[in-house]
Amino acid sequence: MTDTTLRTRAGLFWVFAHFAIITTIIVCFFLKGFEFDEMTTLLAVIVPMFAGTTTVIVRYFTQHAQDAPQGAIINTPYIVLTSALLLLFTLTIFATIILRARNQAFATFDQCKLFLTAVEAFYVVYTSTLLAPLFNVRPEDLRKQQQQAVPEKTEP
Amino acid sequence: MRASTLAFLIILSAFSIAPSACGDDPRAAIDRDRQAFDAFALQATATYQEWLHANGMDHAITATSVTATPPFLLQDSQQPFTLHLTLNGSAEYPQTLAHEFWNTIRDQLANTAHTDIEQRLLLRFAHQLNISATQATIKLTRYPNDQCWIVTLSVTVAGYETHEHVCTSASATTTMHPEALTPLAEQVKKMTNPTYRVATIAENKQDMGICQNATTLGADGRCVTAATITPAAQLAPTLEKLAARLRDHYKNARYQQTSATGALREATIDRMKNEVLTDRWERLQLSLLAAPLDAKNFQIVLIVDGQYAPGIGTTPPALESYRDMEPQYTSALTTYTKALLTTLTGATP
Repeated sequence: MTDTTLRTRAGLFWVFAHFAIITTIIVCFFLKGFEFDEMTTLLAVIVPMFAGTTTVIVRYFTQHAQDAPQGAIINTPYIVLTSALLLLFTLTIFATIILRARNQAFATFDQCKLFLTAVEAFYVVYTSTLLAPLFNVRPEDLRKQQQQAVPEKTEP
Repeated sequence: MRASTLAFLIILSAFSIAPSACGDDPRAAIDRDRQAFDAFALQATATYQEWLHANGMDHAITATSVTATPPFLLQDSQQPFTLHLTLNGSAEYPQTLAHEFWNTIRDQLANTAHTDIEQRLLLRFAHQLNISATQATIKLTRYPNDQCWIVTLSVTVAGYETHEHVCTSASATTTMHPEALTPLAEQVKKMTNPTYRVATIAENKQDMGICQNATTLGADGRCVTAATITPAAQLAPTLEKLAARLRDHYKNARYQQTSATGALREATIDRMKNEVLTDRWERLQLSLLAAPLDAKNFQIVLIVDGQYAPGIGTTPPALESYRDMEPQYTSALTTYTKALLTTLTGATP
């Protein structure tokens, strides 16, 4: 697999996962899985997790919209790590939202919020390190962008 | 690493941990317990005050503190708690005027001759702390630590009781002077106006008398006074009958009778949806409380408090997830309570 292929797949996956998670939260709200204040708190916690990286990805694809698909061969561990971590991160967020909406795994909404915050801190480091080279940015810059996107944690 | 070295290190670390774990200063532990209780009491007082505000009673009454005996949170489920309330604007008046003041306010709050505002105040406190009404006491005074005018609201085996303590000091006689009555009357008038305030309170109330005959149910959802009277000899069977009807009404939910004393039946119902609200988990706290009207008769009052929690599917939420239905869903709870009253009274022979 070339880096272009991985970039396209990982980038599109990330952007669609971002919007799918937002949609899931809103759907759960309409199904009475969350109260309104809980929905807005969840959006305020989760959206910024993705927003920094999504911005970098969208900007890259926009700037390279005319590019012909070329790329260098990349090694298997990098492909596996990038794919697995993105998938795991997204599944964790989905699972957290759905479990909380179904009153499973988390006794209170605060527990769910704290868990998401912990997950975010863990994943920001790895996603920035893995995705930054694909989109021609430095990991530090991507991490900074992700952290800037994260607002002060709000009370539900 | 050799096994003996490892064992030595484990023993050494155990000794280093032991003093901090076992040698705790008892005084420090008591201070911690006290602080925990103080935080709990502050929160409970604030929550009750919010409820008073939501029901339009905060213009007349203020929650000042919650105390317990002993002043720690015990594991004992029978620990008694006391809520201290003060009557707004009555601090400058002597005790005998406070009595009149309270009577006026209580009647205005009830908006009728019913005396169920006191019971509503008491049972709300019990429901808020998830304790039995027999463990709850309310002390109403003119100001904090007032020793000369105290109205105590409580529930005993005999039923709901209200006791008024008034000092018989020389100052009491001065309170009867006509010039002292004028500012009181003005104050009461000021506090109970505008009239829409009172109307709102009456609309928001969830308590009501239980009619023995559905035809005597008033147009406003209340029973006419005479119909709420139950002869003492029939009190226990009537309470049992009503409790049984409630249990039957909630047969698809989890019905837990939390207490059953001579004049009180309390139940918590949860694991249900679509009872008061739509598509939300609900938890209701119901109390059937008898209050003696005179030597021979009782009035039975049903008081309902509700909580809700969001959730999709069939897994009920944890207790901590529930939030109070009031003030957001006060009107839904009022409508539901009236319907429940109709169900109960319609089935009563």
